[in-house]
Amino acid sequence: MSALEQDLGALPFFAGLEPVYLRLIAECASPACYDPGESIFQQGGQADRFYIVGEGRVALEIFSSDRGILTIQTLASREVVGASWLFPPYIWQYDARALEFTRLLAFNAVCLRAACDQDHDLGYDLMKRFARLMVERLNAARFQLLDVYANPASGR
Amino acid sequence: MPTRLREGDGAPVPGFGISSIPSRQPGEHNGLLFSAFLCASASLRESKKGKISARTGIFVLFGFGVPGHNDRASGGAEVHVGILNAMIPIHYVVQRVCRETRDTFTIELAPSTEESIAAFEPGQFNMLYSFGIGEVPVSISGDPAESGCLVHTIRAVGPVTQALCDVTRGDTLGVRGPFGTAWPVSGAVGGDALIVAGGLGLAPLRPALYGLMRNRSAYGRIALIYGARSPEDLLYRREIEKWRSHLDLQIEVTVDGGRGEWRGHVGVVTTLIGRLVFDPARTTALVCGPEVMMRFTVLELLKQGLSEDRVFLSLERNMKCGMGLCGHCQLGPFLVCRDGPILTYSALRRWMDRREA
Amino acid sequence: MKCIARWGDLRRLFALLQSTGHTLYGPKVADSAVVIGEIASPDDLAVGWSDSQNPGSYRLHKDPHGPAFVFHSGADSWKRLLLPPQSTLWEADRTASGFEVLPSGGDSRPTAFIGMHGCDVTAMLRLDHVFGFQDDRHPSPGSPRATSRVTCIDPCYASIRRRSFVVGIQCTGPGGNCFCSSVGAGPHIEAGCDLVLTELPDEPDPFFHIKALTSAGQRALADLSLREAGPEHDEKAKNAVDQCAAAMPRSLDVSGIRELLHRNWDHSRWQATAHRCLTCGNCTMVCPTCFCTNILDETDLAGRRARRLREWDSCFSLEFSYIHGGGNVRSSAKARYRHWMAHKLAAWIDQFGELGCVGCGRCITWCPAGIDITEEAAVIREMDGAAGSSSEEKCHVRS
Repeated sequence: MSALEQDLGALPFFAGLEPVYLRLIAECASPACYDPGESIFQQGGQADRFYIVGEGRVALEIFSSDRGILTIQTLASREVVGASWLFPPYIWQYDARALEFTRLLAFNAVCLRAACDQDHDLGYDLMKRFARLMVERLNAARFQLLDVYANPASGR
Repeated sequence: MPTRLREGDGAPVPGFGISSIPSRQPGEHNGLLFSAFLCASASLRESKKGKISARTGIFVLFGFGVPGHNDRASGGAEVHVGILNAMIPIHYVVQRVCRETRDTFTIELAPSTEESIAAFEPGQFNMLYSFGIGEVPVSISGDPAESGCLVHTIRAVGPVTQALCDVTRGDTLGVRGPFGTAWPVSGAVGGDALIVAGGLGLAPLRPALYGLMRNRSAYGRIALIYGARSPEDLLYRREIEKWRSHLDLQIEVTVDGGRGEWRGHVGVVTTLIGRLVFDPARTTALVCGPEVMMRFTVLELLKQGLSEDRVFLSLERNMKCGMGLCGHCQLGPFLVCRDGPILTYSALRRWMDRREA
Repeated sequence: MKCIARWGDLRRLFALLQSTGHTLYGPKVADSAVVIGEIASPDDLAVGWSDSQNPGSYRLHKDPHGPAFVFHSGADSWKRLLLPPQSTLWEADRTASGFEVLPSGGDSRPTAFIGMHGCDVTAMLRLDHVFGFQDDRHPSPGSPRATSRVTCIDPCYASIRRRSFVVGIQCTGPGGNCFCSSVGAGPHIEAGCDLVLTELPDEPDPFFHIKALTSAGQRALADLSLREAGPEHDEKAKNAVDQCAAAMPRSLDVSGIRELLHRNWDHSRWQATAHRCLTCGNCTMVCPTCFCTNILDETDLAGRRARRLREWDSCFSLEFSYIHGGGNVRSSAKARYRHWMAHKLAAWIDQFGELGCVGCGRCITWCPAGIDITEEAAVIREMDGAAGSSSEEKCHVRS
């Protein structure tokens, strides 16, 4: 097992993944690093990869001309960035920007999508992991939407 | 822990007798250990010069004594003995007003006469009175060790709180208290302590953090997660930076929504719980914020393996008297001003799950 | 000490109390109901007046050939005197340095409460525990506040209690909505009173058995030089009250009532009753143990004088549970009715170690919808755990 496979296996996201799949995923992975403020991907671009943060912090943002840059969420080490690679049209919904010096592992989505189509067990396992992640993100997003800290006197 | 009983210079008060009891640790259940009698119309206040002033009033004697029973009103939180005059406010003068955010102010008060409230425990609250306008419960957010100064962080959500936020140095306010149960600062000794604060919830938790840091070596890891609406709504910004400089304190601050300049976390507090390092079996969690935030947070804490009777919440209910006499603050068997506001999740769980309880 | 007395002796008792400066209060007839007011002689009491009480119904009628005291729970309770509907806690004036609380007087006149029934005496003992009053005039005080975590002592309440001389009357016949015996609140009176009267039956003129429970009561009997009661009087009195206890028209099974209500928190019955409940709060007003109050701060127009008032409040009001800057915790009628009943029969046990209900039946009589707390408890007990009794969803899936 290579060092990269070991690192991947230690990530909570891939916990319990079969070693043969770990190897496959590791083959699709390549390291990347970004300087503070550097763009990682932009809304509208091709979602042909997803990332897991090694160290640093990534902001998911939306830009609007009247309100400027709005940060949806920040993600830090061991967290997954990017779900638009899963389903067509494979287009990024948000901008992603490094807020500090950030090291990431980038995973080739085209490669992985093909591997999942070929091996459904791998596909099922990966889908389960992403589905769980999406449920957690959805719950967090709904909590965020509730705006619980708003001043009640200012009119809900 | 010393008792809060003060009798001026120690001379016994005629017709008045009380035996003191030590503070209790969460989980201890005993029958009531004290008795108190009172002469018809005298009240006692803590007095700096050792003189005792007599005035009609209502006495409150807090005790801790509940027979062991799974569903008893005891939330297992710490309760301390104190005597205080209850319905007549004590005069305090505003020393300092500090604007925290657009609608939240921190005011520092000092007693204007010899009378002052008894020493408070982290998590307790006072009833603050603005002459002619009204009275509201506000958690005490200062350092319990700083006895000369009473600190409150207030958010303007109505006419009384607006009046309290509009004060300037030299104004007089009325104070009744301290009321309620306390955070388990001593109960958390020997393990890890995790504080999760949402919005204004950091205010009643700050005294607990002071208590933990004052006795740092008695605890394992201490961590604070603080979530606010936006970077502009963060409280105690300078102090948070100071806390960050402590190497032995984990701090994570997050906001629900950020603009481009904010380089910290964006996302709800629950997303940060899994990032901290702590031993769930030995961790005591202190949680305070809007009810929805506490609900989500508790779910996440339990998912991480914390025990229900070591998760402490601070509840908010309609409070008028602050002493368990008017009935407004009831939640099931609890009178929140008296059995709370701090209660364990294990005591609260059934009642938090019930709608309109 | 036990004595027997005639009507004339009662008049002398009243005179004795008046001569020692007592203001007397007792049940009298006003506005077609028995209400508690100031009285001067036993003739002012609702003598010879009987009542027919049913859910949502109260009728007084004169019974000239019956015993003297045949009225039951009236339109108000002794709570009117023990916890006044409105009282000023303090007044303050604005000053240059802030405000100054004005020194207050205090009422110190002795009072006598004449004609408290067993249920009302028990209610008074319940309120003693709520307000932290420990009555040392009685040889064995009621259940201590061992299960309460806070002893809050209200000196206003204590003052009223300490200067009151209480004369109880044991009922010899129950009212239409009474159930004091099933909740252990009457009709026998063993504590809380200085004197206890029992009208002996089958006498051509009013004839009373009186027992003293305190030294003040004993002194009064001694001062009146009454004839001592013989064993036949004791037995007659006891039988009369026992008979009353056995003839209660309603009952509330309190065994495990706390757990019963907790188990059936989402019972469909609550919603059914809520449809009938007008949330008018009558029940809380007439209930002798309901103690919820509101604290109000008022100021005059010039903003120079402020005062703090305490007045009766009701958990049925929408704003009762209003959270500052939020909303009402209990906005539905169902939530408010359930809260009231569960406080009386369950939470009260958690808070004070005893039941909050004394079976006086006033809430049944004065409810415009005729809701009967004994019926509610019985229905829930009968349907305990049955379908519709919990919040579990019905399964709509057909196989």
